[in-house]
Amino acid sequence: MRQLEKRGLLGRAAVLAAASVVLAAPAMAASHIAPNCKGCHQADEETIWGTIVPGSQTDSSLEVSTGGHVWKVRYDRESTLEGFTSARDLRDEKAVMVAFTPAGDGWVHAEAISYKPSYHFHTMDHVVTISEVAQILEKSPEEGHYMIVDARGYDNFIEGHLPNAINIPYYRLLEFKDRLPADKRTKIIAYCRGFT
Amino acid sequence: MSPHFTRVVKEVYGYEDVRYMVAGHKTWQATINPYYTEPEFLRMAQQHGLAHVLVDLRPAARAAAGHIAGAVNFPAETDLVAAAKALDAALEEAGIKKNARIIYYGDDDRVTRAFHDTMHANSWNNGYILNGGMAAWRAKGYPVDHGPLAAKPVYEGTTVLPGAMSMSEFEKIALHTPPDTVIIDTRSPAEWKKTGVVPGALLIPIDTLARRLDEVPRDKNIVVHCAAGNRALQVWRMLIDRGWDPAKVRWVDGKPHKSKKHILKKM
Repeated sequence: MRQLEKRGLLGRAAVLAAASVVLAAPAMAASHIAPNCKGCHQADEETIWGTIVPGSQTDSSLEVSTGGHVWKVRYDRESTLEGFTSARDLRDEKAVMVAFTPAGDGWVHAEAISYKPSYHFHTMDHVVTISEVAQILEKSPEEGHYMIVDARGYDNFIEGHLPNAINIPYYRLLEFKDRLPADKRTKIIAYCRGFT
Repeated sequence: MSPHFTRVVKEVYGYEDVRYMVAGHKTWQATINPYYTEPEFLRMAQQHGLAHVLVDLRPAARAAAGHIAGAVNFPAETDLVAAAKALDAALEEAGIKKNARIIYYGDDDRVTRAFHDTMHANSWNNGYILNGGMAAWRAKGYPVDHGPLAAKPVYEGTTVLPGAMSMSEFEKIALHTPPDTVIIDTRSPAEWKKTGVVPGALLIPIDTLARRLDEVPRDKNIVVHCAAGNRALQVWRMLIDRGWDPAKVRWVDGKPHKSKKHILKKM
């Protein structure tokens, strides 16, 4: 939680800093990406990466700050909402990605909105050892109620993989998410190259 | 990259019990655990001339009636230990090294797995079970050979995967990029900043590629690199699948940021 607050504060500081830049140079094109998002993501003409402006969430719209600019985003049943049903489910200042088409009147229309999962998730709390996996594999996936997911690319997968493994390349999760089991209680075991 | 993957599968898609096998596939294979290769890979290996030993574990008569080209026959269904001993001796006699790629297949994956485990225990540590065996190969419609099988294993061919470019070749291109060649760096912005980039390289993170394909020229030689080769290989596959000329696209099998020639420059 403390980490989140820190991020929030940093985000606000960045907004203030960027806002003063905008005042000094009003002709600058609207920013598509917040400084905090730049480490891992790249924006383009029709994608923005930023944080939700507190209190802006409604059932059909939200505002996204990219530091120097606040984007007014409309969404409707045509929009793909990943992991939520209304922007009101999302907390203030949550980091989001919006793929949009311009809608005029200073609004953009969201084709897709996805949010970044929280930093509470610590991978190390969810590890499984090789011997544990070997034990799980003694039963069939149906019997043991599990799925082994190879998160590497197709060429690595066909060369060699664990028994019963399903291939879902990590960077194409959205494309291949239907390969995940219907039952959300199924134990999912993912692996890739490992820490080297 | 699985750490991020597991988090998304749990938090975005709502799976209750998501685990990450930190050790990765290499350690799995090294610790005498069964490892499966797909018919698609074996077919590629045949067509590409990738060095491998292919072992048919079925009785001689059944193998002669239909087998995969290039296979040697070591019938293991009745006496697995004797067959493993015979193969071990034949490999040694042929001067084949312990890390040679060996692919085993038969009609019953349980026999194949037991055979693989026995060979692995005897330090043949780069073995693979053909997933689904002969039936899976036939189901793909791949060619089946008839007649007696070879008795002696040979290990010939290239060890370089299709489209792969060695670091030494890449270093030359990175230092003097020919005008007909475009280098694509598919790492993340944080990595570019940390290690620098090849001057003039097209910077496209792998998760952005699908939206930026129109920036990748079709009439030039393309060389894709990342930090170790995995992402570059995936981008290579994406481009080939989307119609880029396989003769013009290469991926770098190596770590450019570790190059002693200092090919990456500060941005």
